[in-house]
Amino acid sequence: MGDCHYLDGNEKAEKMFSMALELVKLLGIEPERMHLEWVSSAEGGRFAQIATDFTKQIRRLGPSRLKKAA
Amino acid sequence: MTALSELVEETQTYFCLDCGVCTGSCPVARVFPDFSPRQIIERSLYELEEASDGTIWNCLTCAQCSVRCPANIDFPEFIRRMRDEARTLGYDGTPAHNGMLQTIMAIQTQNIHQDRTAWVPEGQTATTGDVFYFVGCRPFFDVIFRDIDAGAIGNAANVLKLINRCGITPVVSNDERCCGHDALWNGNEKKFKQLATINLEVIRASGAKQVVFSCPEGYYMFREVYPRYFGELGFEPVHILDFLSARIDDGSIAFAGADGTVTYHDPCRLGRLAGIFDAPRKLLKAVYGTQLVEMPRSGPNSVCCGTSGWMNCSSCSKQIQVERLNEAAATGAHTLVTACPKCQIHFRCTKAAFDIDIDIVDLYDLLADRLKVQAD
Ligand code: SF4
Ligand code: SF4
Repeated sequence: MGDCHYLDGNEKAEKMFSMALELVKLLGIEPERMHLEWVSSAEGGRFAQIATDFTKQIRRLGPSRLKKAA
Repeated sequence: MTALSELVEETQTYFCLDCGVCTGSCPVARVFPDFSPRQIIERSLYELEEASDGTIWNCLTCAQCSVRCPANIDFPEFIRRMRDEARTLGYDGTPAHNGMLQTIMAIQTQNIHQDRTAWVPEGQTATTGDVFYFVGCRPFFDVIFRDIDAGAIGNAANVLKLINRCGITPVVSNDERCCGHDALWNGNEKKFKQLATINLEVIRASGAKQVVFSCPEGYYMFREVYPRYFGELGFEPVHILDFLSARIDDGSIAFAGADGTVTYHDPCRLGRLAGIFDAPRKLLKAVYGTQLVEMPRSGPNSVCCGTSGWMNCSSCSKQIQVERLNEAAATGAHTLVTACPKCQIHFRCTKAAFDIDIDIVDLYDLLADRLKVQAD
C-alpha cells in the first residue's frame, strides 16, 4: 500500500472499494461480484490470470437480478 | 399545446405579479445571482424558458418562495415538472457523490432482497403489527458518510429506543425502499412511483395502521405526496416528534435536564412543508429549558441546509451552510440541533471543511441520551 504511481491512489481505491462492498451487501447483491487486487503494470501474466478467474466466478454466479436497474 | 404552455396552464403561473418576492426570499439567489425564480416564471409565460436552462437544477425546492408568494404559485412543483420535462429531453442536474445515491435508488426499484436491518437489537422489532417504523436511508448514509461522522445508523437505533420506551415493538423491514423524495424532485416521477409502489405493498403487508417516521422527507412524502398519487393509504403516517410530544403531555415519558445552550435548525420538509415547528421545541425545552435559543432565521423562515436531492452541491451550497453555522454560533449556542439526517450530513461536511466551532447533534441521539428511566 502507498506504493502507487498516483501517490495515495490505491489507498483511495481501497476505501472506495470497501464502501461499495458494504453498499452492495445492504442492497442484497452478491459480494462475490466485486473483487479488488493490486497488479503492477509489469505483471501482465498475473493480470490475465486474475481477470480470467474473476470472469469464471461471475459466469458461475450468472446474470444479476439487477440487469434492468440503473 | 407545447409542454411548457401546458405546465404554465396546470401550475397557473400566469397569476404571477412579477413582484420578485420569490427571488428576494430565495437562499440560492442570494449566493448565485444567475438563479432567479421570478425570471424562470416570467420566461415560461413568454415561452422563452428552455429545458436546457441549467439553473433549474439549482432550486432546493425548499418552499421559502412559495409560502411568501402573493399569487400562491407553487414554485417547487413548477420546477419539479420543468425538470421532469427537461429530463425526457436528455438534460439533467449534476448529481452529488458521482450519482451513487441515485444509483442506490435505481437499484431499489428492482426485485432485490436487501440486508439493511443488521443494526436492529434482538427482540426490539416485529415482522407484523400495528406500528411500522420507516427507517429511511440511514443504513446507506451510515456507510457513505462515515468519514465525516454523519448519518450514523446508531441514530436509527436511538429512534427505535424511543419508540420501544413508549411500549411499542414496531415492524422494521428489510424490504423498505427509499421514499422516492429525491427521485421525484430530481425530475424522475417514474422512479418515484416505482419506489412508492413497493413501499406501499411492504407496509400494507405488515398490517400496520400507523407508520412512524423520523426522517422529515419520508414523513412529508407519505403524508402529502403519496395520497396525491395513490389515494387512500390505509394507514396513518405519524412523525415521531408528534408521537413523543403527546407522550410528554400524558406523562408516559420524561427527559432529564442538561446544561448548555442549544439552537434548533428547522428542516424545510419538517417545518415549512409539514408544519411541525412546536414539537421539537417542546422536547428540547424538556431537556434544556430556557437554554434553547433561536436563530434569526427560524420557524417558517428557517433556511434550507443548502443541498437537496443529492444534486448540484456547489460552492453556493457551501456558502449557505457556512452562513447558517455562523448564524447558529452567533446565538451563543454551543450546539446546533438537527432533526433531519441530510441536514446533519450537510452541516457536518461543512463544519469539517471550514473548521467552524459548533457541535452538530441529532435531536434523537440527544433525546435518547436524556430519556429518563422511570421507576414504574
Ligand atoms: S413571488 Fe410569486 S408573484 Fe411574486 S414574482 Fe415570484 S412567483 Fe411571481
Ligand atoms: S424553492 Fe427555495 S431554492 Fe427554490 S426558488 Fe424557492 S426559495 Fe429558492
